[in-house]
Amino acid sequence: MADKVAREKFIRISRRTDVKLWQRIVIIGASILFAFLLIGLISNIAAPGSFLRFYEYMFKGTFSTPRIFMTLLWNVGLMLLVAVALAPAFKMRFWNIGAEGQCLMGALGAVIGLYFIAPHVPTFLALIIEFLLAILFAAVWAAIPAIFKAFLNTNETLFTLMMNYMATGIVASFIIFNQTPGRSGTIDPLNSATKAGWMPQIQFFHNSYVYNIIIIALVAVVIWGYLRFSKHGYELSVVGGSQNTARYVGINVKKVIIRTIVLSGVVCGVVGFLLVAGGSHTISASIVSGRGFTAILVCWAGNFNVPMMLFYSFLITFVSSGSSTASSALPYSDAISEVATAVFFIIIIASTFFVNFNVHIPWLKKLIDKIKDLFKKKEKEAAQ
Amino acid sequence: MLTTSNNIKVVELKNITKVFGSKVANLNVNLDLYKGEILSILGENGSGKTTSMNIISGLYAPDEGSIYINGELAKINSPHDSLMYGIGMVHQHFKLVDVFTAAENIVLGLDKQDYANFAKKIEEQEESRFAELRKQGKEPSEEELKESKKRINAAKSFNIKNAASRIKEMCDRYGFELDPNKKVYNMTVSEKQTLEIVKALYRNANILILDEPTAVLTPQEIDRLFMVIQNMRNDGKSIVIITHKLNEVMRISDRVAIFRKGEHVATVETNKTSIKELTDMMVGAKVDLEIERSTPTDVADRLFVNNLSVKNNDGRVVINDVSFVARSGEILGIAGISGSGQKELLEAIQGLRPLESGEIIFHNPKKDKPATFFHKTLKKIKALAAHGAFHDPDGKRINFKGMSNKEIRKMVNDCKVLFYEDEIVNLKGKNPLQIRELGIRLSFVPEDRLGMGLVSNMNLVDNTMLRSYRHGHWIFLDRERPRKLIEKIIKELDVSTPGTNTQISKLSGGNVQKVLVGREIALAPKVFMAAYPVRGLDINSSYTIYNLLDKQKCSGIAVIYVGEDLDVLLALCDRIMVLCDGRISGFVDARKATKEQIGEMMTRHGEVQ
Amino acid sequence: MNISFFVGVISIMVVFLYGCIGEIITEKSGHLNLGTPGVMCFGATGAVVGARIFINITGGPDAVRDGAGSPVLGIFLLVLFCLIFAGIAGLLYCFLVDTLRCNQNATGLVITTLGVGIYKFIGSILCPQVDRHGFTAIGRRFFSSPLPVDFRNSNWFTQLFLSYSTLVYIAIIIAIIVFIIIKKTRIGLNLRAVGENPGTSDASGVNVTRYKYVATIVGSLITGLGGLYYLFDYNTGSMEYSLEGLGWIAVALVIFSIWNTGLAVFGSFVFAFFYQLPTPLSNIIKNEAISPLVSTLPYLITILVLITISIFNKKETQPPSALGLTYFREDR
Repeated sequence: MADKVAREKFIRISRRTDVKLWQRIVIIGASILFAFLLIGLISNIAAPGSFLRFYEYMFKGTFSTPRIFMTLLWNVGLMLLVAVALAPAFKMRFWNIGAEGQCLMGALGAVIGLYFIAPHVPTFLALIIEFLLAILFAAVWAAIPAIFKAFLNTNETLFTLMMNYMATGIVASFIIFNQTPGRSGTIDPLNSATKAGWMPQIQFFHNSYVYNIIIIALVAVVIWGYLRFSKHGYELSVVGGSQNTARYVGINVKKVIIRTIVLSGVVCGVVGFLLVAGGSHTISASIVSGRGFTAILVCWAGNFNVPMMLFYSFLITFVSSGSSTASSALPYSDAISEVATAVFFIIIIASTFFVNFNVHIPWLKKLIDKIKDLFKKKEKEAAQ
Repeated sequence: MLTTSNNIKVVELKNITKVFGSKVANLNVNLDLYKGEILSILGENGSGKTTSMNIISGLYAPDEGSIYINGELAKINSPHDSLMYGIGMVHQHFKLVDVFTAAENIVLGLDKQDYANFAKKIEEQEESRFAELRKQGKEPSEEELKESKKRINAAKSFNIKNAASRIKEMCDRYGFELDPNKKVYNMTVSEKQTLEIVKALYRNANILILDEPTAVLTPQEIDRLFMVIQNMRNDGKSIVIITHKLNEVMRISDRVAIFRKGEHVATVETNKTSIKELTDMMVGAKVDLEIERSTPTDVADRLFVNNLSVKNNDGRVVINDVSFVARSGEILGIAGISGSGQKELLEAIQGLRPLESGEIIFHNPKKDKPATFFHKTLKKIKALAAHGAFHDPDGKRINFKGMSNKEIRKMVNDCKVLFYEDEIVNLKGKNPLQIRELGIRLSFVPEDRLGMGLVSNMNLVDNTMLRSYRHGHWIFLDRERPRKLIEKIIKELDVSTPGTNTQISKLSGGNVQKVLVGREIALAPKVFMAAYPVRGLDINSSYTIYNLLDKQKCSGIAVIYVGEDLDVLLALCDRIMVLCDGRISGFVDARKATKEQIGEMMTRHGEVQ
Repeated sequence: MNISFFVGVISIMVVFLYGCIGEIITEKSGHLNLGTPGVMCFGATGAVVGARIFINITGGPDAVRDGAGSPVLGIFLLVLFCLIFAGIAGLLYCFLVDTLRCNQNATGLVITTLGVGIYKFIGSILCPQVDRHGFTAIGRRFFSSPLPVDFRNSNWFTQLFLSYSTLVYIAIIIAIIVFIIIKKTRIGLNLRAVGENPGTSDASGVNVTRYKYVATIVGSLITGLGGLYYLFDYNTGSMEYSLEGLGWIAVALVIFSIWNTGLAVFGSFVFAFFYQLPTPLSNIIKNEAISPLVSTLPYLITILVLITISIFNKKETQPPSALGLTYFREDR
């Protein structure tokens, strides 16, 4: 055939297996710094001269008072909990991108309890009923795609994605059906007068999220232990690693898939419960506000490892609420917080490349060698 | 024999080095290929023969060294570049798109330049035909000219129908059997291989590289393949055959290049060498080829497979009415062309595959052994006692008459309740977990180590506890015992690893296999099954495995060994069962049989000795 | 239900169709781009940028409203920037997934977040409240006007089939062209092979990386046009409606049309039908709570299709086998 001469490779990439812990830390640290720099630059472009003020506002909006800081922690906790819910599923290589809908269904369960049962029973019992309804709704919602995955190998990514919008529709319909008289399409906080079925609120730095944060911490620790030390956690990693191996050692793959995803749903249900009983005491179709999607990124970036997910939950909540605060003082819209979140994750996700691969750039290496030679020559000349 | 008298070098490899991670796959390889020759590349698994050919075909980029094609420095960065130089490679694992037809697979990846070349070629053919006609004084008719224009234009552009008719022509010329409109997922292995070769020829490949082409073929198919290869050689094409089968090397090739541990050791002319010389070069320094084989003692029937039929994943019956007995203290070898149902047979015994018909009966050697509550409930023991299944240490039958439950428990726990007979269990319809719960310990070293026997992204400890993680500690894992076990395995089997927390995929093939075999032996099995346990292993690791198998046999375990190397089967096993196309073609005594005898049985069934 | 209802259905179906064709091309190359909603937003953002430039060079929003500026320039600027922005989104996705080998799901979701954010962010900067009339004028004047053909006696046929703007017909033409390219041409064959089995395609001489890049970027361009259409044609330049939900419908539609752009035309009609159904339905059933349930029907149908194709498990109706997987040639 034609004697076409191929060009020399511009760049060559190979998998690396020998990355050390400090290298990993340096790569992640550098990319976080770079991401922060980039977000500041975006702010500076939108509002010239705001580069340093932007960071100042970010800190103000997250650390300035204990109350604000507690709110930050509450949001960090919610993000972490959704990510924790996803971790078992992702570890099993089940791409559950339906956390948004599962949390929403959990919230629906809790709101049903709050609306119909809480006024008639003691608060302690009401809370338990709300909790059970929340995890039941969310678990069922998660189990549907899992059952089809287990028995028919139906694509779970697309299935769970669709389930999100089904959930939104159902909740929207519920809200209209039960809307507060005189208001269109919203339900006012329920039982405001009696606080029946509300999470007890103790004042701690003028903040009412203390119990919520404790519950989140408890669940996170339990799931962390479940993944690391329990037989179930081990089984789901085997299924994720190789379904053939799982069958070979006698693991019932179908059972493990369904069990794990139900667990994933249960944790999402806890999120829904906290959002309703410990948060707004009502429901709206956007109550989860995209956490189900952002948490996927948190979970992925944190490599399904609970402490790392906490780290990223904290960072990303800091970035999004910080930049949102900045936008109220600077002349641009609060959509900066979405942009900042995305930019942050793009950099973090991209940085994993340098953890997993070696890059060889022949021409750059030649260039560096040449420069080195030049220096050596000069040194020699200088020595002479 | 037409050989390399013309001495035109079509391919020259110069100082090729390729490293994967820490493993050197090729080191300073220099190799020449001449026009119109058949070159065999001989070497053991993992000797770097496939890697070097993958470099020529553009799949891997070499770390160092250069490739010359027709005397010119070639820059091959992708398979397409390699095709441009007229190199076609047929991989061991076929590279075909399942949902495409044969024709679609063949034209896949051709670009405009290729089509222009096709058209040019046809134009040349047509012109010479017309010139011939004119010589005879006949002017081609208007219609004929039109027809030829049409053919040339058709070849210029992408059109599946034209391609299909071109493929048909090509197949007729070479004697291939291939339906251009058949989908690949409906094809047999041999059809797929044919398709791969036709695909390379369609692209006017002058250099054809075949990676282990005979591994999956029947003798008749091999004959046909060799005939085609010789035809192509006579056509002036150069063919490279990667193989480790010596008889085929002697039969087909003009020259042989021998690879060992990533290096090109030597190239010799086939008619000036012998199998023995080739073996020596392939193996290197002479290794003691004597495999330890102990004389079987205490042979007892352990596992009965009766009239078994099993389907593979595609729903085809691959084990058909197979019956045999595996005995304790014996190694039963299973020989056969790969893909004759060996994999499915072992998986069926292990409980991983439903049985279409037939049964698998396990004789649990319980005679005179105490019953325990480990596998049996009190109720079950009482029921068995009523049937007279137990005797006491003095040999008297036990019936527990007039004893309270407490007394019975005490008696069992004191090991005073002994079985009269071996326990007989039908494994049909039971999954691996149920089989284990019955107290039947089957060890199985599957063919696909990292895909079935182990989990590649887990560390050594977690891989070691795959079989035992259910023991103890309520819902939590006990990592202490597996850690101790893997440390023992590492020490005893000389596994080279940075530590017990290393991810298993980072270990070399031999070490991975040692971990797997070590774990399976630690189960203290009654039946030990191993499928191709030495595939891809170096000589020393292979011998470690052979010795382990022999040791298992001596400790009264029924060993089933599926292998591909007949020499090893003959040296290691006691009996050999030969499979052909999912049926048993016979059993032989490994101490008396010859390779030729087995080889013949592998390809013909029905002759039971 | 009357003709105007179906006219409404066809108008909205085009948004889904653009997104769906774009995503089909992308998925054929093995990229499951969950960034489709984001890419649509990128396209719309680009159109806003183009509109802003047009307004600035023609002398402000009032002048545009009063008929200043050439339509050719206006359309050119909007389409150009729409394509540039959508192309950048596609390029970013490819760079992350193909060159940096990031996980496809995570990358797609990031692109969606980024697109939605940028749409609002840049929109709020370039299209402040006081200039809105300029943008709606662009939408009204250049995009949402029907074909420049005068039908004297407008009957049901002309109303139903010939009363739309150019971008509607372009969508259907693109669908047909893409159908032919994928089914009948060399490029289509190579593209399908890349999504089915990149290793094989690579060995056969197909430049896998190039195909993935080109397919994803071309797909993004088409998806981006959907954003432009929705913002300036369907909504005549009014930025108050979110695009994200429509993008997800487009992703769902890819499954419904089993990766076939011909079926996508039919599928987008079905989805649009259910999308618009709540309006006439509320006239019949006097309960508002029904309409959110009806609008989940497209998703429900998609789920049913997913289940059906997994039950029948026919090779030809499956997603491209390598969908969602990262290809690295030297992996052994």
